[in-house]
Order: sequence, then structure tokens, then C-alpha cells
Amino acid sequence: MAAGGLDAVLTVRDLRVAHIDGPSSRTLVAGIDLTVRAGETVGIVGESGSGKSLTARALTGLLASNLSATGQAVFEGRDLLSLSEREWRTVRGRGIGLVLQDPFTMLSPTMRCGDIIAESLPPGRRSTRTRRAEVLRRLVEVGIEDESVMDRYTFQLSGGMRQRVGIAAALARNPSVLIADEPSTALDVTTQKEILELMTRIQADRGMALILITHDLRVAFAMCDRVHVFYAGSVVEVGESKELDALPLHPYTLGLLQSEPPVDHRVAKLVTIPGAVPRPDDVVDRCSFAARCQWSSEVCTSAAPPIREISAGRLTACARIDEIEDELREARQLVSVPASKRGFERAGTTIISAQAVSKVFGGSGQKVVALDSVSIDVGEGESVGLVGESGSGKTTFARLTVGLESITGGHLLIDGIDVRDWRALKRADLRRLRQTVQMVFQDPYSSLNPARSVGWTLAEAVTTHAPDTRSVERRVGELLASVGLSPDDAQRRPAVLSGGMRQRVAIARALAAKPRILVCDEAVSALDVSVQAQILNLLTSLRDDQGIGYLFVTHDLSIVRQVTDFIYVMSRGRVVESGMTDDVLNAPQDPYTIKLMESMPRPDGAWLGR
Amino acid sequence: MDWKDWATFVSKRLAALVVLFVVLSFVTFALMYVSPGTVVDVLLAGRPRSAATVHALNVEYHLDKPFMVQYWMWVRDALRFNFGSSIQTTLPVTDEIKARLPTSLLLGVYAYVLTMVSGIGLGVLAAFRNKRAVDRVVVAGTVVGLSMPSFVAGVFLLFVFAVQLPWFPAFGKGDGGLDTLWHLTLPAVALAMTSAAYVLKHTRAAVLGVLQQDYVVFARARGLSNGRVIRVYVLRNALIPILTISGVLFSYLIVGGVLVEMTFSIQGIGQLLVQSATAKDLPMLQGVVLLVSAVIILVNLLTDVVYLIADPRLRLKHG
Repeated sequence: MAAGGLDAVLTVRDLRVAHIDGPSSRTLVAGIDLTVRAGETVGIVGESGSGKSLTARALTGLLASNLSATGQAVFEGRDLLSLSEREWRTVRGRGIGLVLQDPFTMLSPTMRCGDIIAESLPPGRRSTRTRRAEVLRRLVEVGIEDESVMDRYTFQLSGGMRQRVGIAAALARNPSVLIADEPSTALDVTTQKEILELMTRIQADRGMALILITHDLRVAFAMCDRVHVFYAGSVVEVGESKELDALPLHPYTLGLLQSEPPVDHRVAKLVTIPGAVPRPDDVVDRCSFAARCQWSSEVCTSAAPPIREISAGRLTACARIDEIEDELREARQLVSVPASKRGFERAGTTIISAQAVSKVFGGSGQKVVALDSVSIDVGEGESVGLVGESGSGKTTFARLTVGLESITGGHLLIDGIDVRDWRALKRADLRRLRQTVQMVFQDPYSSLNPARSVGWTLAEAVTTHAPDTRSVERRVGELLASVGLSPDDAQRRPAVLSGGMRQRVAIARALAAKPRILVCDEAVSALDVSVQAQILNLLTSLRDDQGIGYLFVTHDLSIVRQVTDFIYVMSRGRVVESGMTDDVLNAPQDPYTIKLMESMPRPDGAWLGR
Repeated sequence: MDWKDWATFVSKRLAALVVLFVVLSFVTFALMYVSPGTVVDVLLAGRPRSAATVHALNVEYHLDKPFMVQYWMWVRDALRFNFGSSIQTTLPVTDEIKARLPTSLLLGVYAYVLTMVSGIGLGVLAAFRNKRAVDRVVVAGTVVGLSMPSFVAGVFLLFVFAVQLPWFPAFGKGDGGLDTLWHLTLPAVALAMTSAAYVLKHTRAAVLGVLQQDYVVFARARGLSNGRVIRVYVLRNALIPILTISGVLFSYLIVGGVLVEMTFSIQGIGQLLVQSATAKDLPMLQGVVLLVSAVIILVNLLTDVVYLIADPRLRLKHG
């Protein structure tokens, strides 16, 4: 735990990062204070655009050339922010290390893993043999015992292995501070847990200071001694993990905690944070969260409230905390109350019926079995979850239901139509199928045509699926309203919309065909937690209002818990367990489901064996 | 990939090349029949026509035999590098080509080296000075380079560096060695201008793309020296797409030499091609076309091999 009393290794005072564009400048991060001591893990939590990654870049001197950092960051008696590029090179790697989010892009595809680590070692002459031995020692430290990894290229390794190699490279010069920017976000849940455990162990063994940047409060609470909550480029709350989790002292932190669906139980309705994150420059004279805060009053909008210490090590930027503390406490406790059990029976008509479906990719050469005798049913108005990690075959199944792939074995009936081969279907059947099943994809940034306005995209969908629509414009307006957007948004292009708004547009587009089943392929996993909660609530209300059924394809058990009635758990192309959602998650039977449950992040150090 | 995989790869590609080459040779041979007038007309080329000469020509060129037999006889000779005699000079085609090939190849290689060195060098420089003065000047230069045909560049270079400032000779291929290089410098520069601009544009875009990559940030974050980051990370990864276009460029430089050889009166293959086309010298044309296509095909094979060596992702995809 916290190594209090030890001297700070890194002290950041009033860090400000601005985007410089000729004479004008735009603030991205402002007034950041941060202290890290040896052997301590400090968390930076925030949603996208909160400035957490920029802070990491500023503290390693790796900001883009049009960004500038001011303030003070004292490390080993030197102010980092005034270093020249040449001086920075003596700090990076040796003093402060950095691990990036995506192990798939972080390592050069043209280098062997051993060389990546070897080049990162402290400078000095070594014989080939000692160098190899040293690299191997470093690999063992990150849990890779297999010597052949040294001679492999990164693309020959799994995501988890790549991240281990990345960590070994970042640690090669033995930094006293390691900054890890979302080190496990791009990984599967079971791999995420392994990587976090590894980092916890290494941090303790080396007595190194660790700054963990994450969007996931549960991960932050499990890993860190102290957590800083970032919002719109500044710190709104600081506290020890346990205290923060038990009682947030800022409405934004509370909002984050409320938005996160718990894995242990279902809550009646996810509380969401309305609105969107403002730009730091627009809120310099007020509390940055005031516009979205239910407790906002005149105090909050008359001046920017400074962050202040409430008790030892506990800081908040909420001006009204003394008045609203009890209300926050009450609201916090509400989240942990389970909702009443939903009565549900699989009685409706089956719309998607898959019996012993298999899908094999590749022809005569190498064959890859993506689905191996999978039987899945989705009925009218049901919400069904399909859970698994990458490579489980869950996305392949989703693609089969909308005709992006055809089955290679078994039977797939959709609305009574036998869809053995999508290309061989009659036009009339195809039209009926399009109006039965529609899909929402994971990434709202790439699933919408950037060159076309939202209205154009929706009008296209309307005229495709219902060519006899009399007023396309009115229908587009209805669709936008049904997903909580305004008719004015029709004129906008995807680029100016936030991720959540884009995903709403993608949902509206799918709704244009008036489908009976909506297949959501990781439809919320690219979104921030507060936005994710909004979309989940939207999907729930669409189901209540229009009777739409869902097939939720996801890796996230807490989402499944929140929005589905029945689940199938998939692993390596097979369904390993299925049943009522609460039954399966409360008492998982298959070893894989059990492992998946254990891997779900919990806001407790014990989860990582701390 | 071990040596066995390499052998399979290369032999597979070679087999495909043989097929391609057969098709090419067929098309080349058929040239004689698709060109206007009968073959005999072409062979006579304006000389007095009599029944005896027509008959003699028919026999000499086996024109009395069926088409496929003629083709087969031509291929059989071509395999021994015998393309018959030039109609214009009555010298063996092979001798003529042999005399000119070294100059053209040297010009091509010279222009290729200039293209790569200046294109990549300036491209990298422009990318690292993105949106600053140097970058803007270089990018403006590429527009000029891309829009100027090589013979215009040639005439311009001649005027400046051979007439106004008599630093370089205005024509000819020199007497071998350094003298030849000296003679070929202006033509090579003229030839390389467009392709260098092309390589520059691609290099700049590729380097800018790579500089955005996480692996460059991560390399810097580990405290690696600037030189190493540029060499091992930026250049190594950015040059892979450049390699692909470089093979195509080499072919372009060999063929594109035609205009430059004419401009600088260099006795090369390109000039030969133009001359024999004008004179309808079919045996010569066939020989040159076949030779040039052979060079292009082999260079492309070489590019693919180098590409595989450079990009481990392609090499080890199934490994």
C-alpha cells in the first residue's frame, strides 16, 4: 500500500497544456497538481477528452509540436517542462517510462521482439551472449519464459504477449516512474487481468512509482493507492481508492460510478450524466461540471471553484460539497441496491433459430473453424446476450444473421426463411430478412459515411427499406427523435458529432428498416462510460416502446447483466454455457464462464491480489 | 521462410513469368501481321517489287508456311538470341542490340539512382520539416517535376548546362568509364526529374504517416537516440511502400529513356526503338520489344523478392 513518508519522485504543479495555432491558443489541460512517491501507484481516471493522455505525454516530453506545456514538473531536482529535447533523452526510459494503450500499434512490425528490448537496455557495450541473456531475463520478469519469443516479430504474438513485450521494453532502462496509459484497455478481459496483475507485481518488486491512466474506475480502484479524477482538462477530485469508491465527494465522480453497470447485480435504471463534456476554455469562470450537475447553483457558475483539501489527502473541486455530502452518500448507496428480478420466460416466437451452425473460413488450404456446431435462438421481443472474448466466434455469428457471411454447416432459420446461402435468396425473402434483422456496429466513427450528412444517411436507409415512404423527411425526423436527437442534427456531418451521438445515428439507421431484432455488435464498447449508460438506457426504452428484440454481442458481462434476459457464453467457436442471465452469472457452471466472471474488474485491491 | 519456401516462391513466380513471356512473344510476333500492308510490303520497304523477289522473301522468311509454324521457327531462333537481320541495316538484330544495350542500361540505372537518392532524401527532409519553408519549397518543386515531360527538361538542361554554362557535353555517350558518366549526367537528370518528384511525394506521405504511429512515440519514450528512431523506425517502415513503386519506376526509366535518348542523341535502345518503328523494321522491333519486356518482368520479380525481405509481415503471415 501507500509508501507514505517517502519523498516524492515526481511533483507536478499547475500543469497546463495548450494547443498553439499561430497567435491563438486553446487550453486542453489546466491546473493539474500531482505528486507521486516511490513505490506508490497513482491513478488518473477520466473519459475521453479529459486530458489524461495529454498529461502523460507532457510528463514524457512527447507532446505534438503544436502543443505546449507550462507549469512545473520536478523530477530528480530538475524541472522537466524546461528541458531541451537532448536533455529529455536522458530522462525518458531511464527516469520516466511510458507504456501505451494499444500493443498492436506500439511495437514496430519490422523488428523482432528481442531486438526491441535489447535496444531499450541501458547504453553500454555487451557481447551478443550477455545481451541475449539480459533480454531473456527481462522477458522472464514480464512472465515470458519461452526463449523463442525473442526471435519472433510482434505480429506473431497475441495482444497480451505484445503488451508484455512492450512493458519489458518500457522497463528496460529501469525507470523510477512508469506511466501506463490505458495499458489493458485494448485487451480481452481475461488478458487484462493478467496484465494488471503483472504490473502490480512488478511495481511492488521494483519499488517503482506507477501512474496508471484509465477510463475504468474499477480498474483504478483495484490498482491504485490514490486516484485523481480528471474532467474537462482539470482535476475535480483526489482521494484514496477505498474512500473514493465508498463516498465520492464530487458529483462528477458520483455520475461515473452510477453510470457503470455493476457486474454482481442488475440495477433498475442506469443513472446517466446528461449533456456532454465542455471545452476547458468555455468554463474558465465557472465549475466545469456545473452545466451537467443537478446540484448546480449560483456559487458554481459565478467563479471557478478551486480544488481544496477536505481532509488529509482528500481533495475536491466541488464548491457545495459541505451542503450536498449527505445527498451524494445517499445516491452512492442507491447504486448498490439490486433491482427486483425480472420475470421472463422464453415463450415468444423464435425469430432467429440457429441449429448446429458451423462456419469454416478458408478453402482447400488452411482452415479456420470460427463456429463449431452452435445453436442459438433469439425470440420476438427478447434480449439475448452473446458473450465471449476475441476469437470466440461471437462476431462471426452476428455477421451470419445479417448476411455478411453464409453458414457452412447446420441450419439457420430467420423468420422461417432458410438462409443457407445469402446469395441464393430470392429478392422478396431478402427484403423480408432486412426488415427482420438489422445490425449496429462497434465503431460509430467508421460505420457512418463521413462525406454525407446524418439526414442523407438516414434518408438513404429509409428509401432503401421502405421505398413507398411518402415523406422521407418526416420519417428521418421521427427516427432522430426516437434515438433522442433533434431534427436539426440531420444537417450535420458525423465528424462534428460526439461518439455517443454517432452511435445514436447508427441505431436510427438500423431502425429505419423497422427491424424486429437489432444485432448490437459491441455497440457500446467504444464509448465512454457515461455515454455508454445513455445508449444502454436508449436501447432498453426502444425495447419497451417498440418491442424490438436484441442480440447483444459483447465481451462485457456487466452490460449483459444489465440489458439481457438470456445469455449464451461462447469460447473458441462453441457455446459453452447458456441460460437465464441472472442464473448463469450468479452461478456459472462452465470453467470458462467462471474465469470470465473472475476477470471482470472489481473496485478492490484483492481482485489483483494486492 | 526458410530456403525451401524461398525456392518454392521464386520457382512459382518464374513459372508464371515463362507463361507471361510466351504470351508476350506471341503478341510481339503477331505484330508483323497486324501492322498495315502485307509482310512482304514491309520487307520490301519501297524497293522494286518483282515476282522473284517476293518469292525469295517468302521463302527466306518462311512466309509460305502456316502462322504457327512460322511462330515456332521464330521462337526457336529467338531462344538462341537470334532475331534475324534488321531490314534497315541488314546487320543481325542481336549485334545491334548488344552494341546499344549497355548505354541504355547505364542511363536507366544512373537515373534510377538519382531518382531514389534525391526522391527519398528530399521526401524525408520535407516530412521532417512538415509545413515549414523547406517543405513548401520542396513540395512546389515536385509539382514542377511532375508536370515537366523529360524531353522538355532535357532541352532546358541542355540550354543551361551545355550551352550557357558549358559544363556538360550536349550529345553522345562518351568513350566509356567516367567519360560516359559525364556524358550521361544531363540525360539521367532529365530522365530522373519526374520519377524523383513521384518518389518524393510518396516518401513524404509515407514518412508523415509513420511519424504518427504509436511505435515511433514508444521508441522515443524509451529514450532511444534521434538517429536510431529515424533509421530503425521511421525509414525502415516508411521505405516499404516506396520499394513497391521503385520497381515500376525502373521499368519506366528504361522505357522512358526513349525521348531523352532522342533529345541527347544517345545511341541507345530507346533511339533504336524509335528508328526501327519509323522504318517499320519489324525484326528489330520484335527483338527490342521482347528484350525490354524481359527486363521489366525480371525487375518486377526482383522487386517482389526485395519486398518480401523488407516486410516480415508478408513473409511470415502463415509462419
